[in-house]
Amino acid sequence: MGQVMEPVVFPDLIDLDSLPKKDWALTGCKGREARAIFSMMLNVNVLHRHNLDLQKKYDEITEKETRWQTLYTDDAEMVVVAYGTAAQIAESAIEEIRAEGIAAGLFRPITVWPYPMAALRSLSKRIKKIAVFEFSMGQMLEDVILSVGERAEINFYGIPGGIIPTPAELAEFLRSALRATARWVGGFWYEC
Amino acid sequence: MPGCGHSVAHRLVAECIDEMGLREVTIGVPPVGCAVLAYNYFNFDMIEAPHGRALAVATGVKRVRPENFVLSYQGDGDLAAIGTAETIHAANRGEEISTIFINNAIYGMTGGQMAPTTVLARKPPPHPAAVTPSSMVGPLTSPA
Repeated sequence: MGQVMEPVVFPDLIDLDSLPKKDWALTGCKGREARAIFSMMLNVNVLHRHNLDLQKKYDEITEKETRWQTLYTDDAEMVVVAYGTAAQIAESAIEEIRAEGIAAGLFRPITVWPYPMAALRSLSKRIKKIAVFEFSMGQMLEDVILSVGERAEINFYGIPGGIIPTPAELAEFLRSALRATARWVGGFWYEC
Repeated sequence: MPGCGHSVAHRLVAECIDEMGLREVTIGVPPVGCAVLAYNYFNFDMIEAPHGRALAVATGVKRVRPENFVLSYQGDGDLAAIGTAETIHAANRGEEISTIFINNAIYGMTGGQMAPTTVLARKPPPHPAAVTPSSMVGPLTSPA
């Protein structure tokens, strides 16, 4: 648990009747068959079919609901991959080094499961230096490796709970990563 | 009574619901444990709850759909052990939901282990010692 304060903007309320009808909703069974919502299926064949249905649903979510944001990536020679609060620090650090003439951009996954793999893969065909910045010791790094493969050099800046790096510290890491010769997976830059 | 008593309890609940004309407006909440299988036997809408959380789920259902009759059907492992907090707080809030408490005084589904509802001096099969006030778990009691 942590303590964070940020301004939020609530979206306008929508008319619930405008949403698609739900054929599973529990309203009382007047005029129809009774419905049950449950996840325990003792029959192995039923459970098997149910799991395949869930996989199909996840595939559809991956296709339709995966979200991400890019910033300053059009001219970027390096892209920082970061989410949440780390992405806000990354944005400030990127703006700091862009003022020095370093073309850095941001790739911010908005959904991390499913991960926006295709979008990041596509970016890595053009941008050959990637910096992963996250408040963990590499949870998202694995997704980035799976997305990028050997198309680009991956530099990693992970930090466990406790200290939150400043934009200036991340900016220094990004400068160093740009100066360094190419290193590949297995030789991550761990700075923590 | 020897064996499983759910069939009798189900029958009594179902007959009451029919007699009161509630079937078509009822939303039932079965728990985790043997009692979860209630959704196979009751002919009204039902939603399974996580272990111990039937009254929390029922609270949500009732507040969203106050026009429905909301019923939970829970064993003691659910209502009086893992879900004690949910039970006490739902009662304290005075939620307008109904609860059927099926108390067999042991964890039946997993083999008869002692529960907080196990009575004193009873000797559950897998446990070598009788349950006494000095043993590792004392039964739930209310203040005198």
